[in-house]
Parts: sequence; C-alpha cells; structure tokens
Amino acid sequence: MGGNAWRVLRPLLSRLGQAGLVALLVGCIGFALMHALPGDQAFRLAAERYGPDIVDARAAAAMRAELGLDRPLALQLLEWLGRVVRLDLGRSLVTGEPVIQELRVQLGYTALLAGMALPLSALIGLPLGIAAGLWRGRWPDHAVLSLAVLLRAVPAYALGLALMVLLSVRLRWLPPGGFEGWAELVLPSLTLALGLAAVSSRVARESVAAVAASPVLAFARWKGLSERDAVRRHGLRNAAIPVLAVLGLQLIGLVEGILIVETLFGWPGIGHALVHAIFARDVPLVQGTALIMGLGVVLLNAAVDLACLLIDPRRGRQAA
Amino acid sequence: MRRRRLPALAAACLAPALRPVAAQAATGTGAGAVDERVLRIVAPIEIGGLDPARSGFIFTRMGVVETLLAADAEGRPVPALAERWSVDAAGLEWRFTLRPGLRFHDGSAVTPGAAVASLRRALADATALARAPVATLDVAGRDVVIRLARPFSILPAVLANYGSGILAPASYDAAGHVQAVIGTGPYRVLSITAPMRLEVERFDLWWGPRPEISRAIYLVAGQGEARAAMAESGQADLVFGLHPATMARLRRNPALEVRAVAIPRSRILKLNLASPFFDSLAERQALDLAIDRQGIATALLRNPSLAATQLLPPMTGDWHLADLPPAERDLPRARALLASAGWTPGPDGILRDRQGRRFRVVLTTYSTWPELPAIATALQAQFREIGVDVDVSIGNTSDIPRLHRDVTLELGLMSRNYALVPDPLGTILTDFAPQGSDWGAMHWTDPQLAAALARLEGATAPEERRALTQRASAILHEQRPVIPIAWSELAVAIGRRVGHVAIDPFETSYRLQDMRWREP
Amino acid sequence: MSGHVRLRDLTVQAADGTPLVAGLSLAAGPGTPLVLLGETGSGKSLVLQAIMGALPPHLRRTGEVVLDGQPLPEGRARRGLWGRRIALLPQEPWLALDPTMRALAQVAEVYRLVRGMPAPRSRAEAEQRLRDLGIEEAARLYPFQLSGGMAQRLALAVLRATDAPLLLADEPTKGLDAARRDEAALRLRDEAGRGRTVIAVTHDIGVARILGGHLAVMLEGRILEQGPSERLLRDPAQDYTRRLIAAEPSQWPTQWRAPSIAPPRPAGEAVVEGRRLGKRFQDRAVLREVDIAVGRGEVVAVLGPSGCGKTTLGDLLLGLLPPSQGEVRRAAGLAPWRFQKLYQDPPSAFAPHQSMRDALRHLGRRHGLAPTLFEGLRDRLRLPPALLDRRPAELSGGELQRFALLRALALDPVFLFADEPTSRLDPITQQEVALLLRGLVSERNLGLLLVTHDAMLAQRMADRVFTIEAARLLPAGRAG
Repeated sequence: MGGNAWRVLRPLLSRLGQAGLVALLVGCIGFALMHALPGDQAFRLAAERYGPDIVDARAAAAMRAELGLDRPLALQLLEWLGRVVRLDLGRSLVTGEPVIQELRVQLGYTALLAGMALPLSALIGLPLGIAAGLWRGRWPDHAVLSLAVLLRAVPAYALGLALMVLLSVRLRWLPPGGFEGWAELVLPSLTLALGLAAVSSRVARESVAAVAASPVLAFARWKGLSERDAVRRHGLRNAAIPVLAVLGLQLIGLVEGILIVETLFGWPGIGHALVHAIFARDVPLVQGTALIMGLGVVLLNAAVDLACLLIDPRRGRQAA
Repeated sequence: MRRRRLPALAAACLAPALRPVAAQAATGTGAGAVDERVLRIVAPIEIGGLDPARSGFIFTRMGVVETLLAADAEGRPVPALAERWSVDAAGLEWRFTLRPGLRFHDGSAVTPGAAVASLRRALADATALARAPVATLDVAGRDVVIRLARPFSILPAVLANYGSGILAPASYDAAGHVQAVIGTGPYRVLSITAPMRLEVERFDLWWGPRPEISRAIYLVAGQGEARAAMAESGQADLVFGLHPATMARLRRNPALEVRAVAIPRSRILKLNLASPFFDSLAERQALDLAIDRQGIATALLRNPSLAATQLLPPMTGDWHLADLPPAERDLPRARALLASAGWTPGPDGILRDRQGRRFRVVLTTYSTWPELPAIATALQAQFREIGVDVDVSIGNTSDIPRLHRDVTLELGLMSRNYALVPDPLGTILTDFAPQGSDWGAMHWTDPQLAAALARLEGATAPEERRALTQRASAILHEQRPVIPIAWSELAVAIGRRVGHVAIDPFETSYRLQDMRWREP
Repeated sequence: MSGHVRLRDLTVQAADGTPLVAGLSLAAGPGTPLVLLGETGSGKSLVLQAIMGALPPHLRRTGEVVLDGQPLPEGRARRGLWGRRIALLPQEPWLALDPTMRALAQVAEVYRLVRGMPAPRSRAEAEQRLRDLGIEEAARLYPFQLSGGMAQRLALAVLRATDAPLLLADEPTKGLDAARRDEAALRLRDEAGRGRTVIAVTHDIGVARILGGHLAVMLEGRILEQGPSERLLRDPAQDYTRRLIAAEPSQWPTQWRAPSIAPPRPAGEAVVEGRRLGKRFQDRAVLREVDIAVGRGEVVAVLGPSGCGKTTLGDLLLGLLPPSQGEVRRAAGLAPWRFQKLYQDPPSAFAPHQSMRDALRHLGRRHGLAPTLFEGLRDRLRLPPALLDRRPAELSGGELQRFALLRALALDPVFLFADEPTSRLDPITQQEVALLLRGLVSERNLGLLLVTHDAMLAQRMADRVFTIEAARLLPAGRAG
C-alpha cells in the first residue's frame, strides 16, 4: 500500500515544486513587465488613486515619495520576494489595502465563474463530442465540427457581445451584467464555457472515435456484452483518460477566457483585477494576481493529475 | 426578494465586505411596508477605495457622504451639512454653522469636531481643499471656523468637492485608513464589493425630507457596449457614460429616455508655447482656424452644438463669452498667418521656416476617453491641409503631465474637467497659473490674466466678479494658450420605472433623494 | 456441446467487386481445429470476420455460414450470438483487454452481464477460470502488468467464461516470441480438446503444426489445398505449399561452421566492441557487465524475449543511447554513417508521403552518392525500377525492408544492426530477406548484429549466438 501512497504523493510533490517555481517566475516576470511598460508609474498610480482629472505632477511626486518608487528596482523586487516567502503579498499601491484582502473577494467570484463554466463546458462539449465520435463521418460529426470551429474562431469578446445582444437585449431572458444572482452568472459562464466546449468536444470526439475503433471495445462486444454495457464499462473510462489530460492543458485557455469575459461582463473577479492593476501599474497587485492565477492553474492541474490517477491505473504503476 | 442571491460560496467571499454593514445594521431603517424596488445605476467608473480623497465622488453622488456646502445646478453654493455660513470683511475668516441634530449613519452625532477632523485629513491629501490657502481649522460652538492665509472667494465651492466630505470618526481605523464609509447623507452603505458594486439604503435619520427610493445599487460596467445592453435589457434604471454611437440607437428605444446634459468639460489642445512652432500668436491662431470643429462635433460626437468656439461652454455662466462670432474654418487666413510667422510650404507641402526646419510635431493623447484618439486623427488630417505634419502618439493619462515636466511635450489633446469644484475658477486658477500646469498652459504667462485671477480670488461683489471673469475668459480666448476643440455632454439613459430625474452637470450628486418611482 | 460449422460458397467482395475471398466451402466440428494458413492479404482473416458478422461495412458477403444446421442470421441479429454461440480470441490480446480494469473483473463481467449470474457467484466462477489457466495470481492485476502469455491466457479465460461452442482465433501468436508461441498454440489445441470447435488463422507453419486437425492453405482468397494437417505438411501437393514449408527457418539449409558454444570474440578484428556495458532505465537495470564484439564478415545474433534489452544493446553499440557503465569502441577513422541500423518495422523508417525515388535522391544528395551506385544495389536486392515511384504504403513489407537495406548499404556500412528485420514479414519473404542479408555479410565483409526472438532464425543465420538472461549476455548452445 506504501507504493500506492507514493503513486499519489509523487505527482503532488512535483506539482508543489512547480507551484514554488511558478510563484518565483510570475513575480519576477510581472515585476519586469510592469517596469518595461511605457508611462510613469507614479503618474499612473496617482491617476488611478485620485482620478485622471485631478492628477498632476505634485500628486505623482507625493505618490513616489510615499511608496518609495524611486528606490532601485532590484531592491524593490527583493523586498517583494522576501515578503512572499513570509506569505505576505504586500499592499496595493493604489488603495493601500493588503493585496491578499483585495484578492480574497475577487478570487471567490472567479472561482464561482470558473466553477460554473467548467461543468457547463463539460455538459455542452462532452455529449456533443461523444455523439460526434460515435457517429463519426456522419452528419452529427460534421455539425459538431462546424460548431466547434466557429466557436473557436470567434473571439471570446465577440461571442460574449453576441450572447448579450441575443439573450439579454432581444430575448430579455438574462441580465447582461452585474453579479447579484445566479441569473447574472449565466452569460459570462456560458461565454467561457462555449469557448472551452469547442475544444473539449473535439478532444472527446477524437477520444471516443479512437476507443470506438479500438480492439478493447471490439473484444467487449465479442464477449457478448450489450452495446450499452460495452460502452459503459469499457468505452467511457478509456475515452475519458485523454479527455481529462487535455482538460488540464485547457486550464490555460480558461485563464485567458477569464481575463476577457470578466472585463466584458464587469465580473469583479481576479482577471478583471489583473487588467486594472496593469493599467494602474499597481505592481504588487499585478504580482499577487498573477501569482494567485498561476497557483490556481497548478492546483487545478494537480486535481486533474489526481483524477487521471484514479481512472487510469497505468499511471505511476510498474509494468510486470 | 426580486432575485435569488448567490448563496454559500459567494456569501463566504463577500463576508469581509459585509462586516461593516453588520455593525451598521444595528441602527437599521424604520418599520413599515418594505418597498422591494431597488434603483440600479450603471456607470463606467470603478470604486477605487473608501477614502473620500480617492473614490469619494461615488459616495457623494450616491448620497452617502455629504459636504458642508453643496452646489446647485448653476454651481452656486447651497447649504448642506452647514445650514448657513459667513465670511468676515477681510475675506479671511469663514464660519460654517452645522444643522442641529445631525446624525452619522452609525447613529452618532455630527459634531463640528468630527467635521474638522475630516477636513484636516482632506488638507493632508491630494484634494481640492489642499490647494486652498487654509491657515487654521477650528471649532467654535456649532461652527466650523476656517481661517485663510489670503482671501479665497471660491472656498464654498472647494468645500462642495467630494474630497471635503465629512465622515464619522468611527470610519477610520487606528492608522487613519478609512475602513468603513460612515457618512451623513440620505443613503447609507449596505454593502460594497469593490471595485464593482455599491449598494445603499435609505437613512431614516437624515436631516432632509424622506426620500422615496429606499434602496439603490451602483454597478460598474467598464465596457460601453455592456452598459448599453444593460440599459436596453431594462436591467438598469440609470446608465451613465453612453458612447455617442450608441446614443442614437438608445434614442430609438421607446422604453428609454436618453438625456444629454452639457457639462463644464472641454476637449482641448495643449501647446508648448516655448517650442518654435507655437511661440507666436499667429501660429496658434492659424492652427485654430485650421480646425473643422463642426465636422468633429458632428461626425465623432454626433452633436454639432458641442463645437467649442471658446474654452468654456455656455453653461458656465459668466465664464462664457456671449457675443463671440462662431469659429469658422478659414484655411486661406490660416496659411496667411503662418506665412507672416515665417513658415513657407516646402516641396512636399509641409511648412518650413527660415532655418529650413519642417513643421513637424507630435500630438500626444490617451484612450481613457475613447473619442480622443479619433479626434486626434481628425486633427492630424486637418492640420496637414495647412502644411503642418502631425504624428499622433496614443498613450495613457500620465503621458501629458510627464511630458509637461520633461518639457518635451509639443501638442497634447486632452479632456479637461473645469468643475473639479463647482466653480470653474478653482480649476482655471491652477491650470493657468503663471508657472503653467500639467493640464493647462505650458510656458505661457499673461500679467493681465494673473492680475484678473488674483483679484477674482478675493472679490466678493457679484458685478466685480462678473467683469473679472469675462475679462479672464476674453484673455484666454485671445491668447489661446490652449485651443478648445469640443465641449462635452453627460449622456444618461433613463429607464421607464423612474421619474423626477435631475442630472447634475457638476456631477456632485445623482440626487437619488429627489427621484420617484413612476408607479407608486 | 455442439458447434458444427459449415461455410458454403463464402465470397467476400470489395466495393468495386474485386473478390477478396472467393467461393470458400469448409467445415469444422468440435475437437478438430480448423487452421487457415496463408500470407498477409490471402483473405484468411476476412473469413473469420465473415463468420463473426463483423466485416467492414464497405465489403459485401455472399454465401452461407451454417452453425449446427441453422444458417446464421444476418446483420445485427448475428451480434446476439457473440459471447453465447461464437467467441473470438483477438489478435494481440494485451491490446484488446481493457487497460483500466483488473483481470478478474474482465472475466467476471461475462458471468454477471452475459450469463446473468449474481455478483458473488460470478466472481467465484471467474476465479475458477483463472485457476484453470494457472493465472490465479493475476486476478488483481491490470493487463499492462501481465506478460504477453498471461494476457493471452486471460483472454482465453474470458472466452471460456462465455462457454460458446465455436471459438475463432485470429493470428493467436502474433507478437509472441518462439517459446510463448508454442505455448499459445498448445493452449488453443487444449480448447479444441475440451470439445470446442476451433477455427484459427495463422501465417506461421509452426502454429499449424502444433494445432494439427484440418489444414487449409489459402492464397489470394482461394483455398489452394486442404486436408488433415499432418499429411498436408508432410506431403504437400502444391508448389506454393512446399515453398511455404521450406521457408520455415528450421527447414533452411544448416548454417556453416556454427560451433556448439559461441566463442566470446570474433576471429578477426572487431569493428564494434562493447566493454563491461551497463544500462539502467530509471531504477531498472536492463543490461549489466556486457562484453560483446562484432567482427567483419560475421553475423552475431542476440536472442531473447521481448523487453529483455537486446534492442538496447544494439543501440548502445551504434551510439544511439549512452551507456550507464562501460564503454563502446568503434573501429577508428570511419564516418558515423558507416554504422547503420535496420528497423523492425520498415514503414516507420520512411517518410509516408515520399516516393522511394525521392527518398533515395535525398540520401544521394546529402552524401554525394552516384545514381549508378543505387542502380547496382537495386539489381542486387532484386527491386524492379517500377517500385521506385511508390510510396511506403504502396509497397509490401518485404519490398520496403529491401529498400531499407538498400538505403543502408548505399552508405557502405562496416557494421549493420538489424533489429528483428524479418519478424513482420511473411514466411517466404522472411526467408528471402534473411538469406539476402546473410549473403551480403560475406560479400561486403561487414559485421552484422542480428537481434531476434526466433532461436531457429538465429541458428540459421548467425556465426555466433548469444542470449540475454537477467540483464547479462550469455553464449547460447546450439538448439537441437
């Protein structure tokens, strides 16, 4: 049993190491990018803090002095790293609030959005993909392929707008913005889910098509199992393994989608916070947001790893 | 309840934001039939924080925070927390008498001491008040006493600015950070989900008449299309910040009223008067004559009446010069003026001076206001016709102040708000101060303007003020240290449910307390 | 137990009407296996698929399949017989077993879902089936943890659970090494011995010999001759059958001067030599303390079952893998491309969309070779010029392997590592390629390292034969 525990622990430990690396890289890259952007940081911060109408060189100078922005960059970065080691993300340069506190609320909203979009994308993409895989080469396959190509080709921003116009303005079924109830959650998560489903349906289709043509399913039929039993007991799990693995890769797409969808729908999540922090040159907030996003991706990947371990016995086991 | 709330997870993450509300709930609203209707306001500007110096305008607009004095629709000071005020003959000592029985939202009494404490914080931050010549702040009985170092006639306007809002002492934590917005206004904070949402409810201990709207939500939608969709779907009662292009569409929607209110904001061209291109009045006049304001206002802003014939729009009263002839585009005169300043067209059609230097300048602008880059490219084409070659550089709001400091700015296209305090003098004083200003003149001084403004700071007699104001505007118009392009309007989509909506051109308040539901 | 099968005038046609199986009439009954022997493309697998009712949809079947006096139903209804009256042992069972399900469950589900027994009894029956086949210890293992032989026994256990009277076996020994092959064939004979009707399809005469029963030799969709296995293999009437039998390595002319125990070193100077070689993959030692040398003009064979490390040894000598211990020495002063490898699976060694002419032209340009050189080699390898314009998919395995050989020889190699060069080829082709290779070694004085699992092939081709056991290289005695 000890071997089995190691089988689970090993990928988790490697993910943990990855998390540390992500933290370091994201922090440093975020810092470097923020300082590479054109525009004066103190002016941008002051504009964000006091509004662009009232900002002037005096406010910027005060800001620079208050936040120590004229200290050497290397020193500022080292300070940030030192704090991260102590699990302190610092304070937002705009609001002065601790970054962790700013992100706590936003993270919850993003988790809600992602938590809704991921199952929704599975609910849309997997059945379509499975249907396409089972009837490969026939009209459901072609229809699902066209739909997937269309959804992939349309940028999330345009897709969101189209859904907004159709479902909110024309049909009045759903509110186009806000974040007060389940109704407001539907449009952004649907936008996000459709983009993800476009990919997952293709993966599910390929996977199901491969399994449908595999000797495993053929043997299950030759054994005398009914089609239903053969697919249920031998088809689904084998088809799910590559789908799950790709799902892990898709999480990157989820991050990208979240940035766009949150901005469009005014969803107060972490992606929205990142976009704003970048505009404001709020370096600690950018670093903190990117860090949390990076860790989130690593965490979800670890969850995917675990799920793969559960359904795929070949993972981490020695062949005889 | 109208809609189901997000349970469990959302509640858990909202908990930190809700905590101050729980503390405030103790003093809750009165009994009686509860009106379930919630007024929803959608706007593009995010809630940047709780401090009045920062996102204070949202809290004053939503009727949460009040100032000692307010402004009426013409920008004149009116009583708010202070029921009356007076100034001594020298114009140095101002007394503001608080209304009796005022309460903060947490139930505590509003004392002159608390007001002075809030004003002291404003003085220490980057607020309008910090630019006033305040010497001391004191309490005398029910009065707040402000002593000035020199006469400053627009102090009442400065006090009406959101940065001078009065918060309860309990609003601040030990370090002096604002941890909850406990104001005095007709509405108190129910919940804040920074930076996107503020929910308020009626405060029953407010000094004024009981408002009809009992609850309201301020919701941020950054994307113009999303805001328009929220108006069209009936999800919002008031939507601010409509793009010109969507206004026409919304106007056709029978369920909406679209109202555009002129506001004291202008799109202007800032010029570096120390540069060889703009150092003579003839050059500035030539540029002015080359601009097709009517075309820009019609095509880009969809409202020809926004073409700015002078710096300040008609709604600014005395600051607007009534008898100016309309600004017509006149290219031959512009060319003649440039020729008189020594500029002659080169073989490529671009002007050159006697040293052979090409008339080539960089126009810096930013995209915070989506119409600015479009106007910049229109100007580029129009200036090309008189042989001026313009490169457009689009950045962010910090570029113009930064280039001003670097002294490398040549042309800057910007949108300037002249109602930071409800009297334009507040902004004019800084923008056209002799040393120049980030958002105003650059390398330009005019002794007559300086004298007029200095006298305006102290003058109190209305006739004298009117004459000085007109004089100052006339100088700005003649000398053109900045070139006005177009005025602005505040466009609002108003839903069918709500009536008695008054749009404040100075944007100090949404006047929620005056609104009514159309159906009782 | 019943299970009498008759095929009456069975014909399978391609969509364009080309007959792939033409007018086949055969009969089989319990206890006597029916073996269909033939090369790839002879249509023998299509016969099995036609009996199953699992032909690809674009193929058309006529004729009749009669089981116990009843013509088998057509179309979907045929499927109702699967696992009840007809069972099929898949090719390469380790690929057909569900990789995500433990062995016992794969047997038990037949009792549970096909035969409707309650769960505890299904498990008990399944355990009994595993015991019958001697793999009870595999009950909790997954297919990838089983050896090829165990996987085949597990598949047989599944089919025994179905209790279907007719057992079809499609190339039951594909992918197994010689020893496992014989075991597998014996087990299949046992199935027949238990009163089942077994119909097996194979290209391996050894398997046909072990299975016995009734043998039908197929060529191009027709039965060339048929009769009792023993008589037909001893005394074939047809020339093709005779060539097929002669192509079995055990029937080849005996190899010259092969001593009883291989000497450790070549007689002359070594072109490649490995000293105290060791190789580990992660925690597993694949090779330990291996000393090997290959001289010019000799064939050194390394024998061993799949996964024993023989391919690794060849790759170490070529420098395709770095050794974990020890060192490799190649004859000094020679360009690296004069040490060549011949792959097991010829299609994978060619770019799929490139014609042979293009492939050779690229090679010639890169190494500055004269076109006449290719012509000479092509004649020697008996590759007609018409084949040059074909792409890999349009060539047979034997032709492709000869092109691979041509490509290697063009670079004038001094050492050739042939990794199971004939294991994917039909017997007659295998013999051709093997004898060609052997002849080239003497002709061109090159050293050949042959890696194979076929002991007989090794004996017939090599000067010195070694085996790999427990990661060590040992000299092999002459097999009897």
